[in-house]
Amino acid sequence: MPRFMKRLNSFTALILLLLLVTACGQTGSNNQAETPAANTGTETSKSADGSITVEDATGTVTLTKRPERIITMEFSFADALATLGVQPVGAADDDDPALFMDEVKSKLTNYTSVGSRYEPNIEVISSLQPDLIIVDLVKHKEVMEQLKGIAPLLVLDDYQADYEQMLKNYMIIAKAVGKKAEGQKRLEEHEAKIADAKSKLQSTDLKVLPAVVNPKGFFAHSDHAYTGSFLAKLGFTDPVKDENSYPQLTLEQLVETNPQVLFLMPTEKETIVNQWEANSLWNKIDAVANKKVFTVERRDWSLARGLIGSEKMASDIVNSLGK
Amino acid sequence: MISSSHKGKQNRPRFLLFLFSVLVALLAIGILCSLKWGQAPVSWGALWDAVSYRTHDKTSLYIQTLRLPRALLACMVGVQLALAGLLTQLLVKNPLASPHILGINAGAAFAVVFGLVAFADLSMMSTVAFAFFGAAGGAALVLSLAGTSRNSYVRMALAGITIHFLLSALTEGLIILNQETTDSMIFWLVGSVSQAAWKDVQLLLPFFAAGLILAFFMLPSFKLLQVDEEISIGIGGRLSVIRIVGMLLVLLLAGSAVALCGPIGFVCLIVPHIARSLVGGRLTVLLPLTGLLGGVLLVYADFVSRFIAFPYESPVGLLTSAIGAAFFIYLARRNGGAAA
Repeated sequence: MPRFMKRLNSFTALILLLLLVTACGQTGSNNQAETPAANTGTETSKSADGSITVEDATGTVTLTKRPERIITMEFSFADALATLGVQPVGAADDDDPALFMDEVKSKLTNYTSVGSRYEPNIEVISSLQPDLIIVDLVKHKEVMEQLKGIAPLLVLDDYQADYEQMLKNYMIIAKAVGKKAEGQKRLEEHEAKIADAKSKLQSTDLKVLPAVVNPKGFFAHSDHAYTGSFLAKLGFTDPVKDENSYPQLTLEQLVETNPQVLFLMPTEKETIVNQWEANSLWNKIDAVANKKVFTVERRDWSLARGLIGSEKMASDIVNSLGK
Repeated sequence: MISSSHKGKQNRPRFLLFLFSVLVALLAIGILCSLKWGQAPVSWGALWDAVSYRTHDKTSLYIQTLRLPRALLACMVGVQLALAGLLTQLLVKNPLASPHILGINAGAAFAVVFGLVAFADLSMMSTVAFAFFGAAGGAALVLSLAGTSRNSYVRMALAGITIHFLLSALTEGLIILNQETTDSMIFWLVGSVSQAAWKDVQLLLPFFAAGLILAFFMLPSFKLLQVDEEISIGIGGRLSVIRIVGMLLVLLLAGSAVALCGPIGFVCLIVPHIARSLVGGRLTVLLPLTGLLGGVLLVYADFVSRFIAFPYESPVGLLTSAIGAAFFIYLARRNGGAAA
């Protein structure tokens, strides 16, 4: 009898564990009403028969008409659509709309989450009956065949893209959704904003290091990362030169690298930096000694990677380093 | 178990003295190397100034606040994991066992990932606490499934592997469902001492000391685990008590190490075997040798792991797993041939 009880107890423990886990999975999901949204912009299509042809990362994509039910699989694609006044019907947001920048989110009023950017929910994507899906060359390699069966794909190299590549991607998206003129105009606006930000910066002869910090590590954004290339565009130097976009640094390496400005993107409230601050080596970093350590939002700097995101980065930089 | 004639020769005091002094020397050299070579170049003179605490410039601080605690932590964790491995192998009478079959690694990993998902702002200290209690929970789960009754070795191994995979599956599930919050856990899941600070050494020290003292006092009792169950009961050993204490000791040693550094693979498995092949199965010698060897191995593994992707760190668990996996196949094949 006691043996039976013992067994029963352990089974109850297991079931409790399972329940806990499922409960956790659900807290993240949000219930977006499934209301298809049409294009809000009004403009004329370029081609005579209304068909659109663009070159993406894998070849030529021909769309018979201007797409109206678009699904974005990366934050930067949603950013691009938001600037063009196009509403995606679905977007991969890792089940957390808070990961969108506020400005982007306010423009995406009615979208259905298709789940994680890494493991998108194919069923939801299919049920939205899209006529264009914008995917990343690297991240969505595995599901590309499946998605092709649902709708035409626009494949862009976003994950490994630097700033210039992002601008090219932006124009491809603008063309694909039939808003080439608007795209061009918005791009010029963007370039003016960046030039304006640049003019407000006194000296750009600085070693500026952006980094994501979490409780376990300090992940520098190297000159190959999107943020690093954007800083280079503004005239700064990213002191971490590496093929790898996000190498992890130890305190010793950071002190050796000795950046003059640090932009930290914390994932949690308490990160490894709290530990490092207790070490007197931390104060030997020029950025710390000169009080040039700034905290910025990771979703703006690292996740967004679009026009709106870059403009936010520029304004953050001007606020921190401008005259 | 022991081919007595030549192992007997090896147990001569002079040989043992030689062996232990060589290992202590190796350990000292290993720690010295860890202090000397890292990302920043340090000259011998600066190293001497730093360890004698005469200077407090940048270079000295590297050594005093980063490299020294790191080397010590690697050594302590190595000792703890190796001892935990030896004890587990004795407890479940299975030479291929390591503490993960008691659910310790998987329990700790699950608890940490669960904590990160459930509580948005988990402090460093509470992560360690979560991991330790997760390890304890995993062990308790395995024990409650297997029981401590006689001849439960096979059941223990099966229950252990079952719980290990169940908890690992749940952990994976949590990671997939919460990509953003758990990104940082990937590094923890391989095991590393690269971020060690004095605080970590302080935190581990009580576990380290208590574990060693307990192991020392339980040494005579643990010898009973080596003989057949019938015989040890015949001598009057209270096997179930010994096994529970052994289990707690494994938890104390492996649980605290895993909580602090993540699961560092295969140290627990391979070190006891190397030690056994050097001195045979006599526990009075085997136990301290296993501990010492574990410390030496991890100090060197940590040192080498710095140079795999220089100047960036690679988790030391990656290196130990790579060595360990090859060693495991060798062991399994050899033991498969001979009656173990």
